[in-house]
Amino acid sequence: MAGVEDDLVGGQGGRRLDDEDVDEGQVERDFQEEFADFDAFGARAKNVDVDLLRRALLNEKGAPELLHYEALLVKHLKEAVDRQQEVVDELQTNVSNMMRSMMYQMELDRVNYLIVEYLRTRLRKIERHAFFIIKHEEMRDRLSEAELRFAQRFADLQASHLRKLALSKMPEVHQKLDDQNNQVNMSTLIFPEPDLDSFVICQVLDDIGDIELEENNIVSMNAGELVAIRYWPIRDFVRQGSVALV
Amino acid sequence: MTSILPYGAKGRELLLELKRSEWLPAYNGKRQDDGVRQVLGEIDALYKRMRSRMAESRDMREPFYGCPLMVYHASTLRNKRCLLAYLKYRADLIGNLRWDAGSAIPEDLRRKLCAEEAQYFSAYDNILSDYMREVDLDLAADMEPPKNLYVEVRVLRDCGEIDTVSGPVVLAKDTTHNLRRSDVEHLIRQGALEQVTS
Repeated sequence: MAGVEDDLVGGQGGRRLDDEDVDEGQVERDFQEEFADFDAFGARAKNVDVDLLRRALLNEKGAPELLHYEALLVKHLKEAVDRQQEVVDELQTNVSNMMRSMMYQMELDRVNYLIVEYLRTRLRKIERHAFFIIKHEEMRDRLSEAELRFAQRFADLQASHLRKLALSKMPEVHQKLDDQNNQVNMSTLIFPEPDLDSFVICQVLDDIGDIELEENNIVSMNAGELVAIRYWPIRDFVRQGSVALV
Repeated sequence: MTSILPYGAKGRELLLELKRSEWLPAYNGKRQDDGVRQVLGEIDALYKRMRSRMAESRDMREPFYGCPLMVYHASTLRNKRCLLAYLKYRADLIGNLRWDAGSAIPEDLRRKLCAEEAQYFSAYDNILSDYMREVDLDLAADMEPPKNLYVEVRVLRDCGEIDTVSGPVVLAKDTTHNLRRSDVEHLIRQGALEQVTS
């Protein structure tokens, strides 16, 4: 780390030559400050968030249902990325910093990919279960505001598309998606609901002990184990973070 | 599987068409022999038969009179389900196009869509773009985890001049460039550039 610091100061030295009437001490202090900031968000604070987001992304990819939106995590990481990008852009103006700025840029791109992939995974799941989500208050609460608007508009769009092309051209009694007397629930056939019974593979992070799936079928889950299991019994553990989906 | 009754066969045919085609079967909603129209016609015919049977006002608890009604009803629902599944599947693939190809439908694919489906595409494009604007991220970029900052690409068709972080670059056919991945990712996905793997 000391090497990097020397380098930073050295780079500043180069700039100072062009601009002679700058207070040298002040420039030095400014840079120390900048560097402190850089370190705080570049090395420590961010890495924890990045790991958490990576975990959230894998859970989201593995779970059949939509999970809670990690609002704070995304917000913090996006702020950190923006801040870091400014630092990198600054570095990039100086040729002698090229190598370092490229490495930082690479790391930034990776974090950015994580954020984008997380939001994208969620959005595709929202599309798949849009009708289910907007019908259930509990599901709606799991969405960010922007996601909720998206889900609503997407569901409306699909419904009106089907109405335009097919339903409106059918005899009047069949124009609704569902039967009047609810004998046939066409909407759940066409817009599937998440299947909580599907199997997932998960890594047990904390000792959970025995859980009873049904009578005479008990699974013990101990930390470090990799388990293939139906989703619904471990649903709450995923939320608590004692189990991670892979 | 052959069914004794002809009902529902056309709906099944529609879905098989989806399975057979590489992307989507053509559907313009105007042709007479169009599958969707035929299924809708069958639904109508079944409905009319059902009405006329009902008008006879027999005792429907008699199996002789009740059975046809059950068959008509079940066939109608089956047709309805096939038709909706067909259109929904098409709509979903049309939506996916927005992710792969950007905000415009490639011309060769557009020919397979009817007017309403093209409208669906632009409406979906709107909704998705609004969402991206709200979160201030381009979700259609970065489809793959980044491995390198720069990629070596070969130009497969002329792209004219593009702006990159290090200034404008002219992408003429059959030239190779070493460029920032984020600058050219969309062109690679559209097939205008080919990534040279070393």
